[in-house]
Amino acid sequence: MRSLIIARQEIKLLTKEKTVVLLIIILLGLALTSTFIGWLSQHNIQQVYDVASAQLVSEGKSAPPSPFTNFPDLSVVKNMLIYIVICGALLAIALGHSSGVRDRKAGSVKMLFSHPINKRDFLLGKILAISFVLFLTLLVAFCVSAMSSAILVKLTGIDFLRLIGFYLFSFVYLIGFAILGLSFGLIMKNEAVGLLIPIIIWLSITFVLPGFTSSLYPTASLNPILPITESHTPTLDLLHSIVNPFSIAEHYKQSGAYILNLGDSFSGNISLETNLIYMSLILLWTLICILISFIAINKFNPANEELNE
Amino acid sequence: MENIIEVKNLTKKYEDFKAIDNISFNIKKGEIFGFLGHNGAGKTTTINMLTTLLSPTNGTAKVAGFDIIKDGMEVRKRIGYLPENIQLYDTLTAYENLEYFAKLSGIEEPQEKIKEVLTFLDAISFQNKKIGECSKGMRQKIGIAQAIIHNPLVLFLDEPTSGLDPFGVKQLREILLRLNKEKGITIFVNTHLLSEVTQICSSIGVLNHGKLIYQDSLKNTLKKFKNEESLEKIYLSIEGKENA
Repeated sequence: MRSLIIARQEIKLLTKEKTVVLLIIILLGLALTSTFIGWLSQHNIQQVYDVASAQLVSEGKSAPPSPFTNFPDLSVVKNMLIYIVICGALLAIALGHSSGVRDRKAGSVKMLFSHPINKRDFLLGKILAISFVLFLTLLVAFCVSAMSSAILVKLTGIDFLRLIGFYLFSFVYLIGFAILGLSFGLIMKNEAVGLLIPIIIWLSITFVLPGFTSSLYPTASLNPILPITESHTPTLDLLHSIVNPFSIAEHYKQSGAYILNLGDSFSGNISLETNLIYMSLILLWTLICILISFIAINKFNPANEELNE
Repeated sequence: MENIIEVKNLTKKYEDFKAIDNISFNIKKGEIFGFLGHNGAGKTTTINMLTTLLSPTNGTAKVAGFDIIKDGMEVRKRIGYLPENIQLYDTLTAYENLEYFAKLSGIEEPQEKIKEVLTFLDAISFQNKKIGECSKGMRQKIGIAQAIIHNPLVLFLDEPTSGLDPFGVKQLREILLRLNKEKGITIFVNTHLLSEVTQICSSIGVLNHGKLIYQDSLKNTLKKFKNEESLEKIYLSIEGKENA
C-alpha cells in the first residue's frame, strides 16, 4: 500500500522533470520519424524501380519483377530498433536515475524514513513508478508507430499484434536500464557518477561488446540488423562465443526484428530457438538489474542523505 | 511521570571512531528536552538512532515504549522528525507535500488533518504555494506540519532554528511551546543555542565527544550552578570540567 503511495508521488514528480519529459518527447518524435523514413526509403526505391522498368519497357525489353515488393510491411518501423537501443535506453537510464536521486536532492530522505515506511516499500514504489512512465511512453510510441504505419502502408491484424509484441519486448529490455539508473542514483554519493556508471554499462552492452565481434559481424555497430557473416577465424569465433551472451543490445535487435517479422534480409537467418535464447538472455538481464536494485537498497542509508552534485 | 524515551548504553562506532560512547538517559513524557553539545559532539547521530534512521553499534533505546531496533516501525508511527535544512519537494505545493507525508503515515483522507495542522501553525495562507517559492520560515512550518500531522507522541528536532531570522526563531519557539502544552507532545530538541534552551526546555543533557556528561532538569541546573550568571557560563563550566 505504501509503495503505491510512493509510486503515485514519483509519477507526479517524474512528469514535472524537464529532462525526462524532453526525452519522452524525443522518443515519440523518433517513433514518428522512424515510420516516415522507412516509408520514404521504400517509396524512393520503388520509384527508382518504376522508372527503370518503364525505361526497359520503352526499349522493348521486359522488366524483371520488383525485388522490393516482398518487403514486409513492418519494415517501415525497422529504425525503431536502433532508436530504442540508443534513445530509449538513455531515456530509461535518465528516468531511473532521476527517481533515484530525487529524495536526496530534495533533502527529504530523513523525513521520509521517519514515517512508517521501509526500504522495500520505497524501492518497490520507485520501480512501479518508472515502470509505469516507461510503459506509458512506449504505449504512446506504439500508437504513433501503428497510426503512422497504417496511414502509409497497409497493416494486417497480425502486423498490429507483432507491433504490440515488439513494444512489450522493448519494455522488458528498457526496464533493466531504468532500474540500473535507479540503483546507482540511490547509492552513489556523487550525482554525476551515479549517472555515468549506468551509461558506461549501456555503452559497453551496446557498442563495446558487439565491437569485439566486429570482425565476425562487421557492420553490427552501425547497422541495426544484418545477417551474421560466416567466420573461419578460431580466435574470433572463441571471442564471439564468450562475448555474445552479454551482447544484450544485439540480441534485442535480432529478436526485435524477428518479432516484427522483418525477414532474413533484416534479422539474419536465425532460428526461433536462437531467438528464444536471446529473449531469455534479455529477461535474465532485467532480473539481474532487479537484483542489483535490491543490493543497492540494502546499501542505501537514510541517515546519510548528502549528495554531491 | 512515565519515561517516554529510555536510552541504555547507546553506542555508535564508525570503524575505530566512537561517535556515541555508551550513553544512557531517560526523558519523561511531556518534557521539552534540550540536547546540547558543540558541533560534532554526536547530537545528530543520537537523533538518527532514536528516530530509527541509524542502527546503533551497541545498546538500545525505547521510544514511546518500543525498542528502536526490534520495533522500528512502531517507533516511527509514534514520532515526528524535523531534520536540519528542510528542503522538501520544490515542484510541489506545500499542500501536496503534506498530503504525501500524511498518506505515508497512514492517513487515508488527509484533507481535514492538513487543514487543522496548517491552521494550528498559521500556515494556511501558503498551502498552495510551491515549496521552491517558499521562504526558509515557511518551509520550517511545513516541515513541522509533516512531523506532527499524524499526532506523534514525541517530536525530534535537529537544530530547528538554523538559518531562521529572529522573527522566525520567535515563531518557532512559540509553536514548540504550544505543541507541548496544547497537544501534549514530548519534544527532543538538538541545539547549541542556549537562548533557546532557557526559553523552552524543561530539562537538558550535554553531550561532549559522544559522551553524555550532564543531564538534569533546567530548574535543578540553575540551582546547582547558582553562582554562574547565565546558562552559557553553566554550559561552559560543564564542558570545561569535562575537557580539563
